[in-house]
Amino acid sequence: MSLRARALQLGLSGLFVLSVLGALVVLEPGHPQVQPGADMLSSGTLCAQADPMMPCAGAPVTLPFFGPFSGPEGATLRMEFNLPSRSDAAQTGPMALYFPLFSDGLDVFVNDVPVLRTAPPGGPYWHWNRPAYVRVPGALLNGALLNGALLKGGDRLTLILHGAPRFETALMPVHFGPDSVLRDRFAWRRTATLEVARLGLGLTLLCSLAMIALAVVRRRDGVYKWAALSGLSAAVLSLHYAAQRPPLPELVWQVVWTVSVPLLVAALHRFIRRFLRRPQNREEHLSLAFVAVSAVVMTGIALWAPHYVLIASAGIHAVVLGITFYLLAIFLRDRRFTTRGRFLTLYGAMCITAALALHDALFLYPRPPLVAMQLGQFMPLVFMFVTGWLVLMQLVTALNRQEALAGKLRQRVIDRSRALRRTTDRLEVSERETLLAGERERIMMDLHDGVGGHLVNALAGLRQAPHSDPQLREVLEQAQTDLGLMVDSLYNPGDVVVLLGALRARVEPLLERQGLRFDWQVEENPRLPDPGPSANIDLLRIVQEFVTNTLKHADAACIRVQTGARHLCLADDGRGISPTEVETGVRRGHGLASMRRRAGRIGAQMSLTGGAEGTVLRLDW
Amino acid sequence: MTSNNAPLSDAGPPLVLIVEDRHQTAEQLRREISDCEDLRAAPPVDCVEAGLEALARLRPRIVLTDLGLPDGSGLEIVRAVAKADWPCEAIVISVFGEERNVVEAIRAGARGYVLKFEVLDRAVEVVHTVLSGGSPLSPQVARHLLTLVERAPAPPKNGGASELTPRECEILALVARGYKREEVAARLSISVSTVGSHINAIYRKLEVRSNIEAVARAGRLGLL
Repeated sequence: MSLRARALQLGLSGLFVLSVLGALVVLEPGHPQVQPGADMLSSGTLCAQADPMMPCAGAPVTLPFFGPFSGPEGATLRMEFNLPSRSDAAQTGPMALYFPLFSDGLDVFVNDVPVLRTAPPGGPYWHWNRPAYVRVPGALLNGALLNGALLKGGDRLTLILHGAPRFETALMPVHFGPDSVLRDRFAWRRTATLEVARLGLGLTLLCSLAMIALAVVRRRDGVYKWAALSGLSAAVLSLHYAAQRPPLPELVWQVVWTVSVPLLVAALHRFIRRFLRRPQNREEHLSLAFVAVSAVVMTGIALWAPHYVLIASAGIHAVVLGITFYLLAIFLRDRRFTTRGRFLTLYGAMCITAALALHDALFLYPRPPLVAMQLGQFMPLVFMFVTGWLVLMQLVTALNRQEALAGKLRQRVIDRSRALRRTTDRLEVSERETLLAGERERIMMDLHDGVGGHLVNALAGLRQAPHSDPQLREVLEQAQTDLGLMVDSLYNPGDVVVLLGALRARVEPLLERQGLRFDWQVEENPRLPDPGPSANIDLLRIVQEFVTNTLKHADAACIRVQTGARHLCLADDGRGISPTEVETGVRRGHGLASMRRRAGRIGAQMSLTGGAEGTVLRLDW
Repeated sequence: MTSNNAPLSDAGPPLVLIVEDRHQTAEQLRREISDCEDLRAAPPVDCVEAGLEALARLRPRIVLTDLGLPDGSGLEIVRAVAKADWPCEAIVISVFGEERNVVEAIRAGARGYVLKFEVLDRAVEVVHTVLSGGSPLSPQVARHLLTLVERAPAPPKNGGASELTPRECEILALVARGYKREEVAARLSISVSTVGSHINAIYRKLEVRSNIEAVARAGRLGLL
């Protein structure tokens, strides 16, 4: 992949992310604005002494205020504001103070009477991303006491701002107005910060548990363990936004949550790649290696240079942001490995996450910040969406596939059943045919046995009779031979030479009685064009007819039978047939015509020639 | 059975017993044999029972028996002949050579299997062949035997006596093609008596291969 293409993809991904970020900046959620019907306090006095019992002397201060970074012990600041007098106090009902954002702890006094403490005295102060709200008892307000008459100096609001160790103190403009006006603003702000973070925590924990279960159940997939790991990282991130106090000793927690971010990116990256069935690549190893590096760096800094822990954390997150951009570019490159919908959803979610991270950076690093509040609490929700959506998609895909498979299977079963039925039908038919063939054969044999036996018996009887009719005997002998030929050809569907052998055995006794003999030259097995019992019978009948004719008419001494693969030649050495006889077939009666007919059925050319040396019949095919 | 020895029971020409239920056929056979000077024919019998009785009583040298008899199969006679304690040979005469019958007859110990249409003209010749130690073999029967040999599985290397030699197969094939003994001898340039002893060997081997039919059937059914 060329550098140019890589740069293009990086640029494109950056463009997407910046577009989302731009939209966020333009919308600027949480930016301070005067609530209708309420006052926004943005100027007061930053007292030189933090003790609220001392009179406040100091410099004027404008909100939003960002103080210097605290030392290892944290910092405490005091500010005083004048609460504007309300002439409409009687109509608006109870008054309230709404603090959209401050770091990291707040003690609130109205006319020196404490009305709110966001943390127990002494901390820990860990209240950097969510609002605070307090209803001011009417009795405390002078305006109310004097029934609308202005008191000199008015009502005084004193704020003690506590900074967490090594963090900076900060205070966004404070709203003062009727409870009925401010209550909803506070509730929304609280929802968008704390409650979203808690929701994210709950969901990521649930999701992680589900992924762990999946990882155990489907161990061979090797994909869900990464989803579980990224889920746990997201849970840590959510906890960071949702916790009321550091879940672990503060420095340890800084290390844990800082490392959870690169771990989330690396594990999610792996999960997505495994999920899309992509092979391991260099980037996966690099991002995992970076997790290890950041863990080591953060631990080292927390141990030996805790003052730089925030800077290290910011540095690591900046690198993670860079890695994320790189991975986005890679993902853009590999978009063809997944479906369009999946790619767009995943890529969009990742871009939004990156934009949210950048948005937080815009809040955390420039002073004054370029945006009004952190939105990092939404990141785990996006993560949840990605993993949940992916797994759901897989489920849907699996269901679709299963349905398709089941359908296919059903179709196949139907097809196979049909084929089976057809085969069974065919088998039945063929079985019936085989049975019929066997039966036919058996009947033929019975016929032969019975009729043949009778014929033999009749012939034997004729021989014993002193004056038996020679014609009768001839007819019986022919009948016997015919029957024998049929049985022989039934038994030998392919082997013509064997049939000729059987024929010889059957007709030779007749020949011998008339002083005829065979010159047997049966060499090659004739290969008839359309072999089978019928063709065999036709061929044998021709031979039989020739022999009969020779016996009757030729006065010959020898019949030569000679075979080749493609011919059969029969020749006698008697009186040869004359051409006229050949033409008219007169002498040989119907036999000649029947021989020609049979030759035609076999697909053979028959030639019959006669001369002084005898008669020659030749069949060629 | 010591076929070359003179009959022990009777002096004079060898006695031939005919077991045939068709009387004209039986009578014709008896006549042909009686007409021959060096053979004697016993009165024909027409059933298995009478045949067995006559066999035991007359102790003939040769028995010509049909297979399909009214009270059973001629094979029973053949088996009885094989157990005879005097020199005696059985020749099966049948209308046609159905494979099963041929094999069973040879296994039962028949010395020859002759088709009826042949035997009417050649009864004396057939009996003489057997008496001289030969075995009559018609093309039809030779064809059956050849089929059996071809269907049987390849013999083991040292399978020995029961397998046919190439020469025996050759002779079987020639006979099946219709060649007579003399012609076979001429074609193979061997003597007629050598052909005869080959044919004897074929019979003997096929008799020994008692499982040949089972093997052939298995081959036909595609089990081998």
